[in-house]
Amino acid sequence: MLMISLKKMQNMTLLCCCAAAVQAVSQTEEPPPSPVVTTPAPSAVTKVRLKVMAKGSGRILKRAEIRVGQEILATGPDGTLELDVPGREGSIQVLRQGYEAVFIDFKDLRGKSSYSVYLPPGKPDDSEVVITGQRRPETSRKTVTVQETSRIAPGGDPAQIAQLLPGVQSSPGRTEVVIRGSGPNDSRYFVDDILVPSIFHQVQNLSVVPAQQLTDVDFNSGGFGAQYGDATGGIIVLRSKDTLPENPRTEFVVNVPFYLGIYHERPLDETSSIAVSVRKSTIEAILPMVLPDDSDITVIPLFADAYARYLTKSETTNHKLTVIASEDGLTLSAPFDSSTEVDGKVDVSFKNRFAVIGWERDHNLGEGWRYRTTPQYAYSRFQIGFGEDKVYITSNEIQMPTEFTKRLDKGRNLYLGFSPQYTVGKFDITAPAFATDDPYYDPEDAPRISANSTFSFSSFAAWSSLDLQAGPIVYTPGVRVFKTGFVDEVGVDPRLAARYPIDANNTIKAATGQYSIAPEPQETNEDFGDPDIGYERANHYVLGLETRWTDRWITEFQTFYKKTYRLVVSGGPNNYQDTGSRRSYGFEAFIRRNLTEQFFGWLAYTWSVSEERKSDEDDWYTSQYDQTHILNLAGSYKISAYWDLGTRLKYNTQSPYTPVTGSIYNSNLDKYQPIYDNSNPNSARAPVSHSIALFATYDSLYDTYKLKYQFGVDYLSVGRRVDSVQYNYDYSEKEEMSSLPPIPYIQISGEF
Amino acid sequence: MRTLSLIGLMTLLLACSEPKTRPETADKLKPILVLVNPPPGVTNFEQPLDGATRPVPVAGGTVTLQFHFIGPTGMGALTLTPGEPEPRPLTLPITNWTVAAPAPTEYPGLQHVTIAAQANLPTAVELSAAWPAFATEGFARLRYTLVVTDGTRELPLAGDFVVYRDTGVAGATEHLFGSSIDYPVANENVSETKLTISSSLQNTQGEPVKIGWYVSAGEIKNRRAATTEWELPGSGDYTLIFTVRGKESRNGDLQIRKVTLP
Repeated sequence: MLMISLKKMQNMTLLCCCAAAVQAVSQTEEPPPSPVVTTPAPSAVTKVRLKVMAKGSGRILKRAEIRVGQEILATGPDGTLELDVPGREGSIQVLRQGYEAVFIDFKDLRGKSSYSVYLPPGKPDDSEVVITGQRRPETSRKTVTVQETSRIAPGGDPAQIAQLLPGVQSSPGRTEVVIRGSGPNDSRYFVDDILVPSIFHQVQNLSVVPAQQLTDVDFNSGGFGAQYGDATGGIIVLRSKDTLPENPRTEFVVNVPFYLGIYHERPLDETSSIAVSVRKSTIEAILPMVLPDDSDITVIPLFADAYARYLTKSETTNHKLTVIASEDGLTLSAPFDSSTEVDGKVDVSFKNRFAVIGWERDHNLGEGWRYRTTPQYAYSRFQIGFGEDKVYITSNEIQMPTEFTKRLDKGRNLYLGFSPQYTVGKFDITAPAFATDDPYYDPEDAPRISANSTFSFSSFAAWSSLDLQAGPIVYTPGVRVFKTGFVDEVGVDPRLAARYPIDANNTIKAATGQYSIAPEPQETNEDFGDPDIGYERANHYVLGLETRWTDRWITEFQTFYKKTYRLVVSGGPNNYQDTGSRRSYGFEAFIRRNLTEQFFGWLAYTWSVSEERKSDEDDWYTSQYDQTHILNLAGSYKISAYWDLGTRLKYNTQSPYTPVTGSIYNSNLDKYQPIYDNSNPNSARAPVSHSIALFATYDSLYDTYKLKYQFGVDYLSVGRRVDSVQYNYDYSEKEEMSSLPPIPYIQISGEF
Repeated sequence: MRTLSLIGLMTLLLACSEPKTRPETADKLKPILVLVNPPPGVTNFEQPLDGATRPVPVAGGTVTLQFHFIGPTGMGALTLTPGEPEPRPLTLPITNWTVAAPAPTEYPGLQHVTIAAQANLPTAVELSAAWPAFATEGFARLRYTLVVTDGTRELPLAGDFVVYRDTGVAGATEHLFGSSIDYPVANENVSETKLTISSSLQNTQGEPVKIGWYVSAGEIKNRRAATTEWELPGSGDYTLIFTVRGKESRNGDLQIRKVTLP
């Protein structure tokens, strides 16, 4: 039934795409007005104040060139120029680098005291490479600017760029990030130094922070420095702007059929500014209209977020007050085989909310010392219900990460940091008890266990790292010491990174270290889990070669090995035990064409193996997070000042599954239970998957504002695309499924 | 946080929306219900059963399990044999089954077969020794495993039933319920290919139940709902079967109705 509704949505979206395209065509670039003046109307010299601005934004253009015959003049800091208009026939020419020239007849200026000139943007220039700043070196970090993510990321959204980078798995419909074979919960997300539960909504490709406030995204797939803890997978950081806007700016966005949003920023004075954003999904209102009347399915996905930022800067100190609030939710009522209600349906609900407030103070202490501290408070609530089962977890957390940096010679630094933390929360869980020794176990029929408890604990972490040099090799030893309140041990994670520049263009990079992550509170709860569970640990080993072929082309090749142990797995007398381990190794290639105004793109390829076992006595088997080959090709080409075309191609091995060898009829439940080939877990895969996305952006410029149309189609394929394998009701047949059809979309945004 | 992908859920919905093979049609041998100690002598399942008359299994006594199967007309003779002993130590393996001869009945478009299997139950002392909670709670669940075959397909079956210390134990006389098919009405033709079919339960204890609809042909919209839709392939004679089982008591009921679309 939902298939029908999606088709309706596609049709509706296609209509919108067509409408946008028609409008776009009707607003194609206009040639500059002819400089030829034919009307003879000589008269006396008059004065006019010209004001030169950029078309589409109304932004003042200083030092714009005004040519009057042989005379060359320029606008002042306020973008204006007092001009004597000759009494003869002719025209002036207004020029500025990066913009098209505009001609204005003298007769159009006569009799006016002021005249506004809006310069349209010039042809994209491929000769200039956009240079991005450098941060603390990290072996496996990739930094992508917001300018770049807007060109190629799914939906143009910064948080989604990780899906296109090496080492990251993805499957259609999966929004979580799986990095180098680690579990999705093994990675951590930050907005600057503020820890957030997630950086994107689980409906639509949308980060929880508006892209207008971001400068770039740091993606760290392993071997990261001692400043990051409680993570064994990777680190993703959304970096926000620390520059003040020159003018007030308002943007709105209408994304059909998913959401609406509005963003506003403005300078408050010469040293401070404020930015606010609110976005709200519309899909929950549209879905009921497109679902068939006789559908048995009620599905209401929703999301919303709000963001506020106050920024103040002085010569020595910057302050950023940041507030982020986010909500994702879904309520679903649909026929399920496990239903015990007379309507044959099961109600499913999901809600994930969080709000964080952080105050960053970045202060220059002088003599090479500076510190940055970000006291922050976070509230989060995670709630899921399936029939009578539920998981409900809330937490309130305060922490204050603080880092001192001492600048040494030759760009080397000493880092000293600490982060006290206090967490209080509660959880309420009703779930089926595990009975792994029962061959006919089925969660539907299992006895329920309930746990309801509050928790509070304090944690502390301190770290230090120092850049040292031995000949041309710069190496950075570091250590992180930490204690999580409910874990009965103090952790010490040593780390080491090194960079060896072979020559001006080639650098060998290496990193190793120990990484730890605390268990979930419910996993160590006395009533529900095992209090003896300790930190999950991982050892990372990374070796790579980075080559800058030209200022446009960069390649990076890396190999990695990661061993995770004390992995928490379900089972044992206390529902959880930390006897599992996982190992991942692989090779990554990253070929990147740096951003110019015209072209940008990359190719990322990963070959990897990920295996795990439930205890040291067991044999290794292929992990559920194993995808042998992952290839991403993404590119964007700006064909004019108004049109930008792009594509993404993905090719990847599918995640494995354990094949079913037969089934048994469970007469208690009137259902067939699969008999898995447990001697060969995760030994089968669906055929390799591929998908293609095509997208275009058109800027429609008006004098002081612009409208941006983004439209495209995701999940295209050549031939039939297979996303998964599904068994039928009695496991006698299996079928290859394409879960997502090609999805067209359109987004209209305006900037004032 | 252990998060869940919303899009993943929607993907699941999409993936589950159009299964090609359907569980409700009698296209091959399918078990549909196991009745514990059914009323003796009842062979006509076109009439409502009186659930309250069924005796519960009691320790030291016997239990009769009545297995109900459907399949296409002309399906081969069924054979039911005891399966492998239950490996779990907490339950006593019941292996002394005496299996009666299959009793097939032809209905329009399908064959309904019942096979009864009887076993002696462990005594209360044996049950208490194997499962200490039996002495205090007065009941235990006993697992059975059998294998059915029609000569072309072999299918293991597993389930359990509740055995009581005696009939005075709380619950031994509760949770007995009956059922009826309200529509289509018996002996009346239907006039449309898309039928609303409905059933009623006498479920005074409010026990969670699992409903199942089976048909000789066509598609049931939601086979777990008491009221749902049945799309017939066209004119003809059909058979509709309604089953219900209690998730706690393991009791059940079954109704069969002949349906004609002229």
